[in-house]
Amino acid sequence: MSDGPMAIRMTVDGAGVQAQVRPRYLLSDFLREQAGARGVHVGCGQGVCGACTVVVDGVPVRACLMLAVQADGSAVQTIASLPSLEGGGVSGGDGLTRLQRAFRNHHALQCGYCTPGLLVATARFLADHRSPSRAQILGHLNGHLCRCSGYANIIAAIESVLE
Amino acid sequence: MMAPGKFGQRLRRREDGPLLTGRGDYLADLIEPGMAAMRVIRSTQAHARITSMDFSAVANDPQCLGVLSAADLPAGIGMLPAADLVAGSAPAHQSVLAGEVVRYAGEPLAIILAADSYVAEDLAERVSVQYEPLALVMDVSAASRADAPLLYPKFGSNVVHQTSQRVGDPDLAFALAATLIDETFSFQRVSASSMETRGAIARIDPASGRYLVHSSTQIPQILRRELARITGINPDALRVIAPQVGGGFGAKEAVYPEEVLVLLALQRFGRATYWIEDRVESFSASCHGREERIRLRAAVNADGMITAVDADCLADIGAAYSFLSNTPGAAIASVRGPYRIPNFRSRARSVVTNKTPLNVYRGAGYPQATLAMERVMDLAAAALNLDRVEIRRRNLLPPELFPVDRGVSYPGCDAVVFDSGNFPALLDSTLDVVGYEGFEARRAHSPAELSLGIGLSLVVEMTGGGGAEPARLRLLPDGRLQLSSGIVPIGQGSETTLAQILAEHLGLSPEGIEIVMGDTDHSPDSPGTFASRGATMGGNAACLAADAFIRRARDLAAELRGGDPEDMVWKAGVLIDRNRPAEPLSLAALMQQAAAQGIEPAARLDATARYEDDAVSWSSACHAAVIELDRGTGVIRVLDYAVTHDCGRVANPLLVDGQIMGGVVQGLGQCLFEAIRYDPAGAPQTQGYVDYILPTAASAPRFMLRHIETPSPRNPLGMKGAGEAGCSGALAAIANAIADALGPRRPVPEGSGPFTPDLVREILHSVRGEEAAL
Amino acid sequence: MKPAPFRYARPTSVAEVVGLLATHGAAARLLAGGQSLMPLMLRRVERPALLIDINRITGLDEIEIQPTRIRMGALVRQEQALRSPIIAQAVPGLAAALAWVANPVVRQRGTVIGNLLTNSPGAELPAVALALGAEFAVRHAGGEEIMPAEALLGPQRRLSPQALVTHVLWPRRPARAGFYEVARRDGHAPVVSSLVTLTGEDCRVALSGVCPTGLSCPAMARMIAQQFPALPATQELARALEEDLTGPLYADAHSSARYRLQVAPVVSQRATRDMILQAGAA
Repeated sequence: MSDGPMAIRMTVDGAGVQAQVRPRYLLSDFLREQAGARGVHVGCGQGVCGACTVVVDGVPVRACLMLAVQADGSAVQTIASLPSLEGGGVSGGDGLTRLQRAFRNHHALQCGYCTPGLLVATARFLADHRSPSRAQILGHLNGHLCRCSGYANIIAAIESVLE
Repeated sequence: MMAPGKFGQRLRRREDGPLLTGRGDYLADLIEPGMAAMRVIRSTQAHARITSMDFSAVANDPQCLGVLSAADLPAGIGMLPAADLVAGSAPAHQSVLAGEVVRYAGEPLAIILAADSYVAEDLAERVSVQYEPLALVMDVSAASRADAPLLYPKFGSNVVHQTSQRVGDPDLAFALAATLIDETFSFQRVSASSMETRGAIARIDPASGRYLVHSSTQIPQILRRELARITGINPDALRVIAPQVGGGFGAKEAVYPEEVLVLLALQRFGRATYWIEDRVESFSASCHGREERIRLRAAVNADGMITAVDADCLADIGAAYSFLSNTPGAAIASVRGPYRIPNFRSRARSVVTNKTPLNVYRGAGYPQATLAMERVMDLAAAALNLDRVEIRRRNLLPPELFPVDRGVSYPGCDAVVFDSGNFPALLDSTLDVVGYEGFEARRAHSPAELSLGIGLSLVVEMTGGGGAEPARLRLLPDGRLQLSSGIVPIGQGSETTLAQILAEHLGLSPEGIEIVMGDTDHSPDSPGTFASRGATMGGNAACLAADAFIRRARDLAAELRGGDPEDMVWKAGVLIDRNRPAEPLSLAALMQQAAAQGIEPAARLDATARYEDDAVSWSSACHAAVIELDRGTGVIRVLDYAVTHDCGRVANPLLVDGQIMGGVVQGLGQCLFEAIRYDPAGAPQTQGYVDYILPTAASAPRFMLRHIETPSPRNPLGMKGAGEAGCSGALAAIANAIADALGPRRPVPEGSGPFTPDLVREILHSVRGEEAAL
Repeated sequence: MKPAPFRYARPTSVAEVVGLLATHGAAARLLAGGQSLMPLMLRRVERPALLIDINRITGLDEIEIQPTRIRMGALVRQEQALRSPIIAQAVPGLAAALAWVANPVVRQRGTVIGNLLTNSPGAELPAVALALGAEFAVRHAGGEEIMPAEALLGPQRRLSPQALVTHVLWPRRPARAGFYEVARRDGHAPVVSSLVTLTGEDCRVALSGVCPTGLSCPAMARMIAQQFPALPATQELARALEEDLTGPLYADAHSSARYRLQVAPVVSQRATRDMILQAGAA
């Protein structure tokens, strides 16, 4: 029981990371600052916008609502791990996954700030729901705010990758 | 037959690769270890005298790397700029840090630096500020009364800015009118609320030793000029870069105290300093939008012709000017929209209140003005028992009249002259795609508890302008072309669009064209990204630069061959020598030949140009919204949304459609969900997204989008802007649809949003004797 | 928006937690899913001196079948409960409500008990726990006791700062279940929600958002059971609700008390309609 630095170690996108951190250091900040995972974006810092969504031990979480010390010993995956989160890897010459390609083709991103968290959460969602209904997709997307796109293209991009 | 990747194509964006993989470079990504974190200490009071600010609890704390309050600012430090003032305006400029008096909750009082943002926040909490409250002014009507408490006693009034317009003889028209419509509309305060908050970093540029400021801004070039003016730093010693910006929508089109403060902190304490706005802060630290009141009176003839309109706009601009807080006046000057209305009078007053300063927000006053006019159209139709579509048809400016001088002007637009358009065609197209004709049958089939409504709006808005736009095109050593543009990428896909425009112009593939943006070293004189000017102004500038580039290429080719530049023709991406037409010269070949003769091609093939024309053009659109109103719960959903949009020649319809949809959903957010609230003591009640409700995917309607192109004769590309039209028509279309769903006997509230379930239930209950429940 | 400093403990047993609470009590906060507590700490509204992270305690993430109860541990996540076939069969009302709580990502981290104890006005689950007659297993230095839902979720919360809620116990009651909710926007905080379950003649009605804490509505429940399979009119439900209202009404910036009272019968009626349409386990 301490407020001083604690030693933690975790893997982030497959790479080992160790650091001494204070208990209140947020996982979102840790990932960005200690693990170089700049694709983790802080949009609201309140767990509402979803831009900071990562996967910890297979579970999607808001990194801004988690402490770095809570991920001690865990495997964390960010947007950089999207190929394995989707399960399909990258294919084609553009270095993109199926979902990323669908987002690009459907113009489902504009400023791109909400995009990485949205892609991570969507990959996990689709892994859990092979044939989601539109209502289920909208329920999933309730956890993500986008101010630029008006959402229609995001919905279309997701629907386009369903079998 | 369109060549691939060129103008007019739905080309996928080149900027998406890094953004999709989380490798976009936003402001926060540029923070480096060792930089100091800046925290702003902000007023908790809306209007007060500061009697003391006590730093003693932190002054000797080794974790405190520095403190600055107003007393520490350099003598003669400038005030923040306001770009849209008319002569005679009161100088209600904001200071970088509040001095003796604070005028809004959230106003910066001081800054404190620490090694990281956690500690900076800890330290800031320990600074003790004492206030002596002053009388609050929280309402624009109260603020504009003669006996109101004054935010700036030396001005003698809270009305700080005023413009007016007059066309024809409105008094006569009102005297002769068969019917008068008189309505007042209130628009609530909203926040642009891009997903990336603001931020700024000040450091020394290692390469040149100059000051380097990064800011999440839409206007890096203006920011540079203003930072130099405010701080006294020589502009040549200052470089400003806008990195990838995570949305702007106008809230990042201002010069903010924090941008000055990171630079001052660097100067004072010698450390690179960063500031990232947190979300709670953003609701009082970033400029708000929209809050105003419009009273619109219309004189209507028996045949439904609107002969005159009188518009009075009272804008609640908050505690001080922002960069562009007086644009409601500009929009009000164009409140007549696409309608003839030969007689017109307007007055727009900006009133200061104890709230966060107001700035432009997507649409810049046009959403409000359009709602006022379009609601009045529906009300006039109802008063005369005329069809809503028919009354619009009768009043629309016909296409054969273009260009149409509206007889008004305002700062930034010397004369409002609609350049081109076809309003009846917009109307026909939208009515068709939304299924207007079949709507009554659709309404009749709706279950009893769900009332459908359909609403229309037509909008004409100013785009482009802002000042001359530079561009530079040069050949890089690797053979690629590089365009330097002053446009800033805020998500609108300007990189792809500019590449398409340039590729079309040059007859080359867009892949071979690199675009650099947002860096004042590259484009020092551009005004930046706003008013939907990026593609039009940036594109025209790029083409001018391309023309200059081509001239240089012809000169070089002629020199290498010992010929006459007049003999060299640029065609489909290559130079053709009239004397040797079978041997076209590509840029790559030109480079090789130049190098072989000892000439450095990159130095020669480097052209700059400025697009100087007054390129304000007028985009237009017709919107139709179909809404469903749940009579039991009061919940409103927007089911279908149709827009026919005219932005002249469209470089990339995919991207324009994206802009329209994004704008519509922002308008939908204002209609149904969003509101910045203050309590009676002036304390902000909006602390995050639980309070401030943004639309999600479930809110998005089914979109039906169409384009009409009436090219603008004002610029060689024939383009007009498209970034804001989705927003500008949406408030009106949705409000009209809600009124339609509620039915003719229901009083529609004076306010125009948000239409909360609470409010809807109240309206449903307001007709006596009717059971609103099922 | 960074939390104020705190000491952090990550106990691995319930006994350890109880020991820490006995010492630090009111200055400590328990961290489970964090979806409610962390936002408050980030705004520095909550500033515990000690944060007790219970996520590493084994054995608290189980959904266990007992003779008359389903026993759910403090680390059972909302999504886990939503997908549990045990809950679907034995506590279908809870399953029906969980589908409306937040969104999938929040549900995979947030716990059922955490949501219950946060007891936000308008929240779906606390009203459900009251209506279904749930109980809580509470541990403190003196041992364990079982407390009815009212003790922790009613207007007078009687939960000692030294206590740890280890389990929630749901009565096993297969039923038809229907749920409906109105919010300012899909997925935003619920304004008024209602659960209606029916097992034979045993009808339960939960209502959130009308009072500051959740309501169980026996009068509405009797009416619904009497008229089943017909749907009561909202005016009738409104009259029954008047009987069920036991305390002050709730209002906030999003919705007035009057609205909540007006819309509650509509919401309950729609939940009833949803219940009637269920294939029926009763």
